[in-house]
Amino acid sequence: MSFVIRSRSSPTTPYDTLAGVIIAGIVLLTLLFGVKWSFVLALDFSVVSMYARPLFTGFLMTLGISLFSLFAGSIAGILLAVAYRAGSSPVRWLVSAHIEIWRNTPLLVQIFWVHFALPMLTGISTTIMVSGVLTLTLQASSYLAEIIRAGVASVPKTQWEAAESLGLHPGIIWRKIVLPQALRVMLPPMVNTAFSFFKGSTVLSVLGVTELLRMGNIISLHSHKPIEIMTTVGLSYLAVGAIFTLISGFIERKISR
Amino acid sequence: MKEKLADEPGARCFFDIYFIRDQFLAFLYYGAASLSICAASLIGGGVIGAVLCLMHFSRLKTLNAVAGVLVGAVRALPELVLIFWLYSCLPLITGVTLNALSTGLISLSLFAAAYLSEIFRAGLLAIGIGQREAGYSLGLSRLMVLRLIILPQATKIMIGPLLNFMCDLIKASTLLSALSIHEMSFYASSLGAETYKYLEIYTMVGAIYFVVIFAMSSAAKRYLARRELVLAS
Repeated sequence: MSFVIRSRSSPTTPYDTLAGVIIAGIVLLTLLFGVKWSFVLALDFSVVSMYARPLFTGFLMTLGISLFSLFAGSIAGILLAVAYRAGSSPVRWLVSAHIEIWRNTPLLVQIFWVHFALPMLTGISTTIMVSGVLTLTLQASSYLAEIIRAGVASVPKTQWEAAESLGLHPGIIWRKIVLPQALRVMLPPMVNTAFSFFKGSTVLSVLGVTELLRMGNIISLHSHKPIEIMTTVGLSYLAVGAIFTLISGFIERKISR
Repeated sequence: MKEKLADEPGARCFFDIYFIRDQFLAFLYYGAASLSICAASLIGGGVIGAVLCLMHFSRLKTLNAVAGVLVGAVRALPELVLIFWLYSCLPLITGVTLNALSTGLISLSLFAAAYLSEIFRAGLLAIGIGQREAGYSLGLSRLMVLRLIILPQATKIMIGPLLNFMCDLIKASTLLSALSIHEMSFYASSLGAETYKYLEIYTMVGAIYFVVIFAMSSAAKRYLARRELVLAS
């Protein structure tokens, strides 16, 4: 899909060529004078293989943190969405307050609140890992509850009424009628949320959890090779991002069919 | 900080309201610092994002590809990774020493540029081809069509996503505290390390962020809902 229509009605102008020349010029000048080629060409990526094991440990940690918090968060999210649907108005109000609070504050502030302020309230001190995962779980629960709530609400009321008038059991209504329609609406934002929580797990490094980013920082300080190490870290995040793009493309194709 | 008297009721309470009262102005000051960081990176990101958007609509395939790769990469990278990569690698690659604030502003601007270019693109694409053709048939030039017909309509479409993105930008700006840039969450953590009044500090900081972000996101939600109503009728 292109915005520029290639038809007779669009007068052809030399703007595009001009813009291309200007941008190419800027890029060339930056590459020529802005980059220290003697340094860049001397980069030695074999350092990465030396530190492959700790980097992989960090990667596994990142994966584990995000998978666990997504799993726990989706269970909590389902419970919250059910409570919102079935509960009385104070319950609804509480669920909405939970959703809005966790969605509308920065993750960093939430993590610090859970790690430093919550123990003052409860008297239970948590390790950095526990408070980080707890924060991610709570935030995931609010995002997922909102998605599930919107997904279930998107099924028209007539579908419920039709199913009830057929005398179907509530369990069957959910399984065979509501969920298949709601899942079509819910899946694409769920995949996006999953990826954003994978990205969000990097914030735990600020607390000191040694996931991939913090491991990369430590190793780049230790080895004095920041570019090689940090680029590898960045590329591994990009690789996971590419996998997520493939998954969401696959799901969207499945749904639109 | 004001010396606290022992008989002040807040001194004995586990939630020290007097501490919040004393620190409130300081927090507003650092909140203004946070907001100006966001505003600067929004402007920088808007300029870069507009260029990326133009590159995307260009007829030159290479420009399309470059813009696509840049936007995709920045959107797929976690913000903190982008910040740390630029912080540790940019000075080495370019040979220019940058202080933490400019590195932070560059990374937030890049982050904003990637998302803003997508918002601009979606807004422009939402205007039907008929609008352009009608403009051309009236004898308007390409620039005039863009200025008089497409942009006024596209901006209305962009306002909602733009407000939503500004929420994300404010949230991302807290990550700059990892580079010890003096914005609100950094002040919170340094004050916390000094006074150990974490409960008061982080509850207040969270509340300030919540007020700003919630106002914006509900404005966006209301705007989008009203637009949908207008479009449906």
